[in-house]
Amino acid sequence: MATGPDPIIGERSSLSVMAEGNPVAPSVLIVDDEEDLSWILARVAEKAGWSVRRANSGDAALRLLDPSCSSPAGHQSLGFEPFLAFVDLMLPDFDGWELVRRLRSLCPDLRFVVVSGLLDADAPRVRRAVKSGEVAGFLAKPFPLEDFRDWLNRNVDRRVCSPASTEP
Amino acid sequence: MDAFATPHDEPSGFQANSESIPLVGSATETVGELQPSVAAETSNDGAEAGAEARYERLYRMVLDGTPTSVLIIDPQHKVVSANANFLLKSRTRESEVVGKRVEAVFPSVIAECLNLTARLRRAFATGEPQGGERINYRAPGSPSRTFFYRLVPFKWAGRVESVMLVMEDVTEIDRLGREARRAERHLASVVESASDLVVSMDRFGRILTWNTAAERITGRAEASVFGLPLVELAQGCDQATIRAALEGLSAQKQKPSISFEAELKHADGRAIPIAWVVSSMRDESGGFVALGRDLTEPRRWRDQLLRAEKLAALGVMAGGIAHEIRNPLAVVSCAAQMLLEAESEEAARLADPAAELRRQCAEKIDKGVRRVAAIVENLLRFARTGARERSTPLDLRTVAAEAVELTRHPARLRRVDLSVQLGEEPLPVMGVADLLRQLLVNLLLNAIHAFEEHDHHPSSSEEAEDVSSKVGAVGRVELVAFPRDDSSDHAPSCRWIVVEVRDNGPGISPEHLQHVFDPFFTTRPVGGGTGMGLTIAHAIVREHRGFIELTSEPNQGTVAIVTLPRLDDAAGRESQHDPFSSPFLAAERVFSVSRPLRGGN
Repeated sequence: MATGPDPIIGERSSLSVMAEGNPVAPSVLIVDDEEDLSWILARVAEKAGWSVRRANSGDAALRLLDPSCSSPAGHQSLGFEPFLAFVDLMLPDFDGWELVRRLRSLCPDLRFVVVSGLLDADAPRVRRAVKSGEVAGFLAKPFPLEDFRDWLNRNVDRRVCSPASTEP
Repeated sequence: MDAFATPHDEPSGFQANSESIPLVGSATETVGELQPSVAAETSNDGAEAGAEARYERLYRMVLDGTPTSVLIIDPQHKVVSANANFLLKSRTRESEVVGKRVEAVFPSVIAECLNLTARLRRAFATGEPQGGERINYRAPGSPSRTFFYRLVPFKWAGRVESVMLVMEDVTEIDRLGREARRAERHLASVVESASDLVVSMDRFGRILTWNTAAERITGRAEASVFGLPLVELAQGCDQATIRAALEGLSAQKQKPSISFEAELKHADGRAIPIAWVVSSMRDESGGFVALGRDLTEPRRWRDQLLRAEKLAALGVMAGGIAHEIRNPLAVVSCAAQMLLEAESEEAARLADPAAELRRQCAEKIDKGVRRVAAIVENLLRFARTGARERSTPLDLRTVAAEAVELTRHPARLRRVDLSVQLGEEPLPVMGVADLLRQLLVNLLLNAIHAFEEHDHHPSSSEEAEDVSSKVGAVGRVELVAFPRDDSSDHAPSCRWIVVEVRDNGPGISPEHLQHVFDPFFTTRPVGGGTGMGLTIAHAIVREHRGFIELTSEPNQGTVAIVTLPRLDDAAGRESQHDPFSSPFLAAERVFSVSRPLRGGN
C-alpha cells in the first residue's frame, strides 16, 4: 500500500475462506498490535475451522465492523460479523476496555476475550469485567495454545451477531 | 620563749588573774596559755613585763584574727576568755560570757547534746583532746549554723590547767559539701538513666566510669572494664580510630570534641556499632568523657528503609520490563507450541528422524519459554501483588495452617520436623488469602531448604514418614503466629499480628543476609531456585502494609518475622458492609500511625 502497511491484516485470507464457499464458518476477530502473535493465532483458529480477521489497532478493528465506515484503503466490512473477539488490552491507539465498549455498540452479541501481558492478580478490572459478563474471559501472555483453542471451542456453536444498525 | 618557761602551778591564781582583766576581752582569752606566765612574771622586772605585754597583745591579735571561735575554760568549767570570733558568732558580749559556766554560755539543748560537762571533765581528767564533732547552733535571730568543735586541754607541769574549746563555723563548708554531693547524685542519676553510653577515662584512655547503659549495650559490667583501655574493647581499625581520637584531643586542648563511629565488642562477641562524641575532661586530669549512641536499632531501620526503597524501585522497573517481555514471549511461546504440535504429528506419521529432531527442538524452545514466563510472572508478582485491591478480612490462622499443610511433603523429603503454633484466639488481618498463603509457603520452603535433601528419595509419603520416624528428624521448622500490641506514647493503637518462621538450620552468613530480599539472589545451584521467593514475600508483606525481616545466627538457625497490621474488631464489622474500601481505610488509619518495634514490649 502506498499509504503504509495495511492496518487490516489477513483480510484476504479470511475473504478467501469465505469465498471458498464456507460463508457459515464462524468468524473471529483478533486485535493485537503484536502482529506475529495475531498471525500465529489466526493460523491456529483457521486450522480449527474458523474464519479470522486481524486488526493491529483499535481503529482498524472498528473499521472492520462498522458498515458505514469505509476506509481510505477501500476496505469494507463486507458483512463481517464475528461473534468472538480477542482484544489486547494495550493497543497503540486505544485502551482495550474502551475498544470493547465501542465494538459492543456495533455488534451487541459479540463476545470478548481480553488478552494482556498483565498478571490477572494485577488487574482487578479484569476480574470485575469477567464477573459482570462484560467480557467472557482473559488470557495472560504468554498462554498455552490450548487455552486459546478452548475459547474458540466454547463459542463454536454460537450464532453470528446481529447487525448493529439498531444501536442508538 | 621565756613567757612559757615560767612555772605556774596555781590554778586559782590563773583564775583570779583572768578575772582581773575582763575588759581586756578577747585579747586576754586569746592568750589563755600565756596568762599564767603573765601573772607569774608581773613580779619580775619591768622589761620582762613589757615583753609579756607584747606577747599578750600578739596572741590576742592572733586569736582574734582567726576565723575560729575559741573559748578558754577553767577546771570549774567557767569561761576564762572568748575570742572575737566567738562573740561575733554567738552574738554575745564578752561580759555575758566570761566568768560564766560554760554550760550556761551555750543553750542547754546544745550543752546536753554535746555532753559538754562530761567531756570537759574527761578532758581535765585525762588530758586527752575530746570532741571532734559537728553541732548545729542557732543564735537568737540568726540562721542556724554548723560548728565543728573540739576540746583541747592545756597541760602545764603535768596538770591540765585549762581546756580550750575550739569551734569552727563549718556552715558554709557543710553547705558546699551537701551541694557538691547533691550535684554529684544528680549527675550520677543523669548519667545512669541515660540511654547512651557515658564513659569517663583517664588520660591514658583507661575506663574510670561506665554507666548502666554501657553495661546494658555491651553486656559488660563496670567492674569488668574498670581500668581497661577503651581501645581494647574495640576491634581492628576501630581501635586505631579511637586511639587517634584520644590522641587528637590530647594534642589540641582547645578542641571541644571529636565525633566518630566505632564498634565495641559485646561480651558475647557481637560487634555493636556506636556513634561516639569524645571530649577532654574539663579539669587538669587530662582525662576524657565519651558519649556513645548505640546504632544497632537506627541502622536496622535504615537498612529496612533502604531495602524497601530499593525493592520498590526494582519493582517498578521489573514491572515495566516484565510487561514488555511478555508480548514477544507470547509470540515465541505460541510459535513454539504450534511447531511442536505440527512436528509431533509429522514425526508420528512419517517416523521421520528430521521431523523428530525438529519436534525436540520445538519442545526445548517451549520449555525454555515456560521458564522465562515463570520468571517474568514472578517479577510481575513482585512488582505488584494487587493485594490492596483484593483484601478481605481473614483469620491468619487458617492461611497459616494451609501453608503448613502445603509444605508437609518437602519437609518430609528433608526429614524436617514441621510444627505450627497458632493459639486459640483468631488472628484477624486484612489481606488476600492466596497471597498470604504464598508468603508463608515461601518462608516455610526457605526454612525447609536450609536442610539438605536426603539421598534416599522416598517414593511415597508413607515411606517418607517411615524414614523420618526411624532416623529422627534432623531439622526443625516452626511456624508461630501471635498478636502483639505496641504501646507507645505517640501511637496509642498499634496492634499487630506477628508470624515467625524459625528453623534450626545452618543459618545465613551476614554477607548473604543483606541480599536475601534482592531479586534473583539465591545460594542454590542454577535451576535450584528462582531467587524470587523472599523478594516476593517482601512484596506481599509490603502490599499488606506489614514488615518482614530475617535474623540469622550461624549454626543456630534463622527466624523470618512477618508483622502485619491487626484488623480491628470495628474495622472487621465495617467490612461486612463494604468489603472493598472501608475496612481497608480503617485499617490504614491504624497502620499508618507507627512502625512496629522489634520485640516491642
